[in-house]
Amino acid sequence: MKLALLAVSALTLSMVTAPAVQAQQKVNPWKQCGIGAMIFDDNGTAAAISNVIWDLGTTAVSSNVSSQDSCNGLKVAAAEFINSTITNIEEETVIGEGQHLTAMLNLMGCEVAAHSAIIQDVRADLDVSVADKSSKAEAYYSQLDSTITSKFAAQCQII
Amino acid sequence: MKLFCIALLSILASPVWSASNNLFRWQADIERLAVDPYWLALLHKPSVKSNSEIIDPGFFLSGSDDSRAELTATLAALLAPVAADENEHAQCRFIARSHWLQQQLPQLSILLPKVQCDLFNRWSDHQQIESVSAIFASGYLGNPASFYGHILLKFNSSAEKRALLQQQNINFGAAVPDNQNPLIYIVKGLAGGYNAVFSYGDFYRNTQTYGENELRDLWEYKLALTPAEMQQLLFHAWELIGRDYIYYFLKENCAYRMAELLELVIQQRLISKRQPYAMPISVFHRLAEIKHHGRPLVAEIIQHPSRQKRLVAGYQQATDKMQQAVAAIIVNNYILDLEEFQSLNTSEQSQVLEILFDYLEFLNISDDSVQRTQQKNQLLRARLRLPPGPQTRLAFNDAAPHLSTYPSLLQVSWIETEQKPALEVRFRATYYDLLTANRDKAMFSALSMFDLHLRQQNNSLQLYRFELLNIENMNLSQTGLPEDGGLAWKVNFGYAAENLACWRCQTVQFTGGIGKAWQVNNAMFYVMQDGRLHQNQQYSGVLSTDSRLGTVFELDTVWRIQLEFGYRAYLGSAAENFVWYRLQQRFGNSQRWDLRVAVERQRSTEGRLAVSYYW
Repeated sequence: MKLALLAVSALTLSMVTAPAVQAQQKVNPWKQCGIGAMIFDDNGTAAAISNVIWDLGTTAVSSNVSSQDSCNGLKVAAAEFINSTITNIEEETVIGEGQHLTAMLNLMGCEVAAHSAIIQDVRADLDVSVADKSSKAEAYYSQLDSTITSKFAAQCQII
Repeated sequence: MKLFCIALLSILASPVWSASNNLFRWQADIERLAVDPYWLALLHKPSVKSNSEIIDPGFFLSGSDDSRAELTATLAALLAPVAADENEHAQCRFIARSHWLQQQLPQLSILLPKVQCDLFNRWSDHQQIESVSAIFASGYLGNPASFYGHILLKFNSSAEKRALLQQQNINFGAAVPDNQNPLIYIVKGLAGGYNAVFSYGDFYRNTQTYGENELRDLWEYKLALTPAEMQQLLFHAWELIGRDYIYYFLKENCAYRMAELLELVIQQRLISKRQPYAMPISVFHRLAEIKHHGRPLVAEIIQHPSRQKRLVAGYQQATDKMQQAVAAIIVNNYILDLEEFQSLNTSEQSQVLEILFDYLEFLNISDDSVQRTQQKNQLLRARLRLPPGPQTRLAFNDAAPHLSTYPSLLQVSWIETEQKPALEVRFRATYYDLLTANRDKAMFSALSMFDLHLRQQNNSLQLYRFELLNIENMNLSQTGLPEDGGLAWKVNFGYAAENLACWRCQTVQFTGGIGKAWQVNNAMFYVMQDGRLHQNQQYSGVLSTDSRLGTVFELDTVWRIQLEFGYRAYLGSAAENFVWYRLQQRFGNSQRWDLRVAVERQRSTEGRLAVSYYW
């Protein structure tokens, strides 16, 4: 009976927490959130867009101001970052260190102590044969996400 | 009766009554605070009677920019009950106003409803701001609005998971539609045809836009502000994000608005309100001059070098062997199986590959081809085969922007001519010429606007010369590697004498030139071919050309010389072609003054001794 109660509690808990977690884990920012199109540069148009968003209410564009669900989560902020800076990220990954890698892993919620090991892991399997930047970014994000999920989940908790 | 008493008690206890009651109690304070300079500054009103510079109705809770009405409306809104979305409450939306009013009206904080401003707290990293930096993005000749650089503010968080590239920054820019016609862009920018807003974003967006795509250095000036001042700045910046202003390219631009925001906490002028133009560099000159709480306002200066700057530094700081390897790999289509590369040790090979990364990305700015991506991939693979880290540490010893010569010029010249001597007064609004001191030595370029020469000669005062715009970009190679550097070019639009032999022969002229320049140590040599379109004057026709050959060289930081020879040819007219020359020298390397001596011949000869003052 005690076991059954525990099982029911666990099931209930998983049903309560699952949607948010799944939204974080399964979303592909490139396919589902239009990464690239949603990235703001620093020209006037960007200012105009951010203005519109501001006036619509409390949905903001910056990574840490986003809500935790679907396309507004921190993982998407990390994906945006990778998409914008993939050239630097790729260079720093083959070298093995750099400020873009630090920022990227911070955005993925990874503890500083784990950064070096994650970079080594990603570096070991890095595919640098992709031709265009957007595909490079998507492939990189996918590799990083699966590395973190499979090996560094405890050290990288999106909060 | 019982019912009446209950109703009265309900009204008296209601938040609306309570707010009205408090407003009534503060009547005298409201009269005083409504004209307080700080309150006016928060509303962006230059004076009580003038209109706010913010044109966004959403910025005013009273529906008008009247300072008293807005104060009353703000107090009422601050005291209002909290709705479903707490972020929408006035305490969250107008956090600087709320904070200041609580300081001014001590009872207010007791009466305020409790509000949790989640959106602000996340944006400001729960106010874990340890410092604030003003960022100068160096000038960019690719866009007229960027000739004079740009200014941003960066809030540096102390949170462990906020690295440099994630720091929050705010930007002020005009909302310009995509693919705007350049002419319309300039006209509307000058005439107030665009709205502008403060926006925000992570610092990496700026390092990408400026440093990687436009090859502009970012200079970070960390300011020595107190925690209370940083908080004040953060609060007000939050209120301003997304609020519309009218944008004027010349004055009410990024420099003006950022200076205004900083002035709120520094309580000292950063930019002249009377001067009809505002430049980002002027703000940095001023920041570096200011003493704040008895110590320099600028606590630290950090350079964030552009991709080009990293390439040049990486190449120049490499050994001869490594430079030879870089050149050989480029010439051999990025094949690495070369003696020059294979003979290097692992660390040197790694450094060579990093230089090549920078080189290819530098070339990608002008031509992002598939072939180049494949070449880059080849190099990335080669680096993967080497052991990881560390990145090459490069040294950058550029002088900070505020150490450059001040941008505006007033010059007085004594001129000896073949006829009578003359006295000339010259005013140049901005910025630098080929002889200006304290500029990046690698640049050898000129950029000036509104350059006016008034000459007193033969007992009459004359508008002798006026240049609305002059740009000469020598586009020098800084490494000597293939495709580094390009064609030199010149654009000039003005009103000037046809030659020195005539007294009143000014014409409106448009000049465009193209050529090539080379740098050898401290000297630059160039050949240029200019085409000139001008009014017909003394049978000159409307078209002429100047073929020019010249050099600019520095014998010492205090002595720079320009020598130029040219041949003027008039096309389709009877005017006589002629050879001309010019020798100009600048003495002194102060940021504030110099002495210029020149000799010039264009059908007639004149000599000039000029004293320049910069501010």
